[in-house]
Amino acid sequence: MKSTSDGQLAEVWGDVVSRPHLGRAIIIGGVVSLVFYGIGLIFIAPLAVTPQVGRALAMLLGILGCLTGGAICARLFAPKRILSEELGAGTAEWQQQVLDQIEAEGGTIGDMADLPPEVVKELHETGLYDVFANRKSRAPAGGEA
Amino acid sequence: MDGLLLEILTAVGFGVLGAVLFSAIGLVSGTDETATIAPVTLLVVMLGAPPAAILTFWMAAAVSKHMTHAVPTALLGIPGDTLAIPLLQQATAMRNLGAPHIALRKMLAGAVISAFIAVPVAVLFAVILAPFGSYITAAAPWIFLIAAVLIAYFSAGRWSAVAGLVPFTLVIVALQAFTGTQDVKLAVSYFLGIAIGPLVAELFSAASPMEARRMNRSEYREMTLAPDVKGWGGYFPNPFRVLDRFQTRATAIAAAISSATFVFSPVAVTVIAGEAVGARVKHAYHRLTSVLAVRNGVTESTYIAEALIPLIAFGLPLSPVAAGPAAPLFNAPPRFTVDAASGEVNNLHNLLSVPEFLLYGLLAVALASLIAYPFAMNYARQAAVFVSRKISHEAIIGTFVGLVLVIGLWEGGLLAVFVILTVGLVGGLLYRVLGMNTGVQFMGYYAAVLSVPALMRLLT
Repeated sequence: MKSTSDGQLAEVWGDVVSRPHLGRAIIIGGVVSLVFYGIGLIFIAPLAVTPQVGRALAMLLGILGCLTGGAICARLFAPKRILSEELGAGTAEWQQQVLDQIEAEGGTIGDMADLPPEVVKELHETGLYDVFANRKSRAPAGGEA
Repeated sequence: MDGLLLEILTAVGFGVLGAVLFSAIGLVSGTDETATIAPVTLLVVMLGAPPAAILTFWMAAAVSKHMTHAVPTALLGIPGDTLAIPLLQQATAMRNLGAPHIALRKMLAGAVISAFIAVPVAVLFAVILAPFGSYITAAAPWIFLIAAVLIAYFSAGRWSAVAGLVPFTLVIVALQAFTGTQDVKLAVSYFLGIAIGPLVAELFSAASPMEARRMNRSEYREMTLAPDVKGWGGYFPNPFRVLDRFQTRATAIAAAISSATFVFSPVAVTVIAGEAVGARVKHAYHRLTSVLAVRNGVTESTYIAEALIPLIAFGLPLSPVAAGPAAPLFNAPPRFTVDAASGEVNNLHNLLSVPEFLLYGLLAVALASLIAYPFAMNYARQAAVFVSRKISHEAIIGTFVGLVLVIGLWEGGLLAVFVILTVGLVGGLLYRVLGMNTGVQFMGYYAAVLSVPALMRLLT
């Protein structure tokens, strides 16, 4: 799945990037922002009422430059992520694992009789009623507390 | 009357802008609140938006982000931002049960109900506290010192974060003294440096061969998207129907109580509120959904209260949110200032009245509920797919690099850019190594500006 044109991958600030792409993205992001800010300072700022407003306008253009630079990078460099549809979730096996984990952490599975009718209805609608109901009937047989 | 109408319309405009922008940013997993909301709000302040518009913008932005952050959290199993982390365990369990859409709906409904309750409750608490405001303001340098130590102790770093405050504060004092000799007075650059510190530290680390082993990867990041389950009809699901009566009550109570605990870390309050409610629910399914609704509700109420109460009652940023993501509402020189010597403030505290805080706070929550809530309810899946397929992490980092350069050059030329890098690198490493988070560092900044001069007077 990893294409060779990506170069070395690395996890930076919480997500995977390609080192060469990151280097280029930093340069593009910096240069585009500076060009926009420079244009603002030279052409827009002198038109403003006060120098302070002029500089603020130039900064606003610079911020637009940041976003433009980001958009260019988004077009040039594809995300380093594989997005797949989760097939296991919702299957009986995964559902049992969730219940196992809840019990392992000391949580109770609980009794359907304790639930308000609206929650029982919600469980029926999501098709999870049997998952929890069957588990409850099995739990006492498994281990008497 | 025309003036008032114009003021309200401007506030609506900025509120819509904040809600749309931060609904989008909320979808991008891992976008820290401080790193995103603080710089953009600062920009709004600097560009001269009227006070009511600034408040509406900030509040709509924060409330929207804490709605759409539920999308990556529920569907991708990756926390949308810092406050989404306490929701991850329950969200993942619901995902594995095959009901991520229920998790999403409970989180969003909890957020709407909680946000609407938090605004009036926070205003009420602020009014109760306001008479003590003048004492607090007079003692500001010392209160900041105590607050800095407390917030540091309650961060992940505990005592090491408390100890870390000393060198960190000294770095800021030293930088200020040096830039002062060059006739450059900076404030925004410190905020930005602290806010994006973790990114700066990561970029420096990425360039170091020593860190290559920790950071290098050989595979793409794998993400699994929960299957699509169409759960509801209509465009605007009624939050009171999404939650059952117990959940509505629990969310409302948690919102009201968490609005009062404005000095504590929002993450901690979110965790505790979830535990308190979870302990009262025996059935596992009901517990999962109730905890999700309550916790996401609390991410809204803590943010709202921690910004509004200090803003209305004191005008001093005396909470983790006020010192972090909401910092530009308090301090954005030259427009908004907190004076070091006198403790005198000039910010939204002076510019808006209590009824205005209430009105524009509710307006912001209403706008966020009209924009972020239905958007996340109806387009969660498409949005999650778009962000993970089209927006590369390289592009996000490139945008932030541009932001540092533009804001730095604007405030104080190249010197300011270097100050941002210095504060960012030091702060980012302190965060990663000691667990001294950005909220603690913001308090360190205030200690440098407010407490250090008072301390020096005392010592000499």
